[in-house]
Amino acid sequence: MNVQAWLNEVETLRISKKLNQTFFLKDIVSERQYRRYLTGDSSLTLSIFLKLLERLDYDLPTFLTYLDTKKNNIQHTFDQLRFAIIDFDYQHANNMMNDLHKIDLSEDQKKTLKLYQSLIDFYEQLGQNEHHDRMRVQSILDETHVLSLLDQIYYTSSTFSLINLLMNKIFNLLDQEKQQRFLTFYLDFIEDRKFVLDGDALENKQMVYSYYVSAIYGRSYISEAETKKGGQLIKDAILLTKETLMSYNLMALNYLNSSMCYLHHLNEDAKKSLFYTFMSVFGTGNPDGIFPSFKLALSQVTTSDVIIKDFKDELKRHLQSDTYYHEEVRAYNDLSTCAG
Amino acid sequence: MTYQHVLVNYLETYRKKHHLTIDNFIEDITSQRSYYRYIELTQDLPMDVLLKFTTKYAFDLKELLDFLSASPDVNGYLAKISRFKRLKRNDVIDAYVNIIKHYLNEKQQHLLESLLHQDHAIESFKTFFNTDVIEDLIMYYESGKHQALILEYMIDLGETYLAEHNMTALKKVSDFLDNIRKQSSDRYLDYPTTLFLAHLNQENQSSMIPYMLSHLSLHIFFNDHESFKTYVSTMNQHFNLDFSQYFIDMVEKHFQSRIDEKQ
Repeated sequence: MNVQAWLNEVETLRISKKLNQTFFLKDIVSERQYRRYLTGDSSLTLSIFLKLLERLDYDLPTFLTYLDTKKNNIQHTFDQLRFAIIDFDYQHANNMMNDLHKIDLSEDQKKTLKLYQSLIDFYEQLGQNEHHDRMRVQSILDETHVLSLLDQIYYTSSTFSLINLLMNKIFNLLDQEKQQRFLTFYLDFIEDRKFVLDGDALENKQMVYSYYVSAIYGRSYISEAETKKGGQLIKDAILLTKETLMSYNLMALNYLNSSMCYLHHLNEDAKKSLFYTFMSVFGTGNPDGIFPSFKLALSQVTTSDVIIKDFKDELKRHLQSDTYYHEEVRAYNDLSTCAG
Repeated sequence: MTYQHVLVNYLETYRKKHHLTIDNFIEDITSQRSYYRYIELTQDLPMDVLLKFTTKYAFDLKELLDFLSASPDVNGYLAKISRFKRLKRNDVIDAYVNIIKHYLNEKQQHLLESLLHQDHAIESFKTFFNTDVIEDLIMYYESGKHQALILEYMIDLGETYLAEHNMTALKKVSDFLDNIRKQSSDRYLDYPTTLFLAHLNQENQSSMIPYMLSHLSLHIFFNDHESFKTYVSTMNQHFNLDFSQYFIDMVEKHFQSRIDEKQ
């Protein structure tokens, strides 16, 4: 958005507040000069702009929030689209993309849509031809330049989200060296060598923890030390949700814990985390959309019969005795016991 | 308050961290002479120059200002305090109070006192907003004002209307929260909103049950003082249903090994 567009928004607000232009500009700038700003013949300074906002009872952050709210509808659809792709809900994602194609979008938004379409196409054809799959992963890497993005120090939250989405979708198909680069990327945030500039610091930390443990457990080979570190971070990340309230994150964290514990035959811990994974799924309000992916993922480590029995047993336990989530997390849920 | 000193400080920090010369950094944006005047605060930074920097280096200006602002987002913290008070997670509240205590104006101080010492600070919210008309608050919200605080107020209001069985007013509040939660990544909003929606759809089981399954699940993660067992029992009695069976049915539906799969 350019300065003229911002000033037009200021004009819209002035008119909606029924403020007379002479009164609005008094002791700030002449009406003639104001018109020059509006037409772009003269460049507005920050201090005058802030004074105009103040007269409308806005400051800069509030004004920008107002603009954000106005563009929220499209952004909201993009956010929903990203979540749908993360959740493997491609039917819903395709419907949203069809709707977005009917809207006048910016060039950046068109590029994002193109990337999302590539990811969906990629997944719909995944597994048919291994060579083809690898070529397509390479083409996604080339198109997005994601590997060079990993080398920055400062990130905006939108770039950070893009990297997270790609990590979520193609990590398992990368070679060992590239997987290691993603792992290092997340570890750099944990150890304060990289920074996300905007957004909520705690929420960003929550995301970093979650993606780091996903990256560790997403690889075919995991060392004892990594298993231990991952387990401790899962526990830290779950405890962090007490303050961030990011319940959606609990789904992935508990799933990782559950599947790793099933894999290591730690069945008591596995079923506790399984129960919490499923309750997080119910919490989203979209169990029909999400359960099929968990059925597929958990089939790698246990059977459907065990899953149903374990869920029922746990539900019964929670209905028969007074349980409190964060107390339970402190008491078990540490994959460091899986090490080795 | 002008943000110019904060912005130029940020721009210079960014430039140095990335080992960029001034010429490279300002290329296609402004002249070196002007840039020096901006950083020495002897000339006002034009808006179009500021926007060119934010575009070229992909800064989100709003978030950048929040990040760099010398004063904390007091209303944002007041909203967090209100939320964590409702959740009875008092251990995090002290830290938030410490962050904002030197930046409060009179109205904010009054609101903080009532948030800390009352279960529901509805009257104080009304004084703070200067109105108790829901439509006015929705308009404030849409104009970007007091957004976080309005959400917390609406949740408190919804709880009050639910307790009073004022379903008409509850619907107005729930419609607003339902709309906002769909546009938000703040998943806590689902917890109270699904409860309100379940009560509003009490006569229509096919709508009500999914809301309750979502709400009961979130109860586990958002309520540290009332056990799942007690809460499910209370809700079962209220709605005259056994919600636990619906959880099991749904898991069985999705995970049951089908004969065709075995074959």
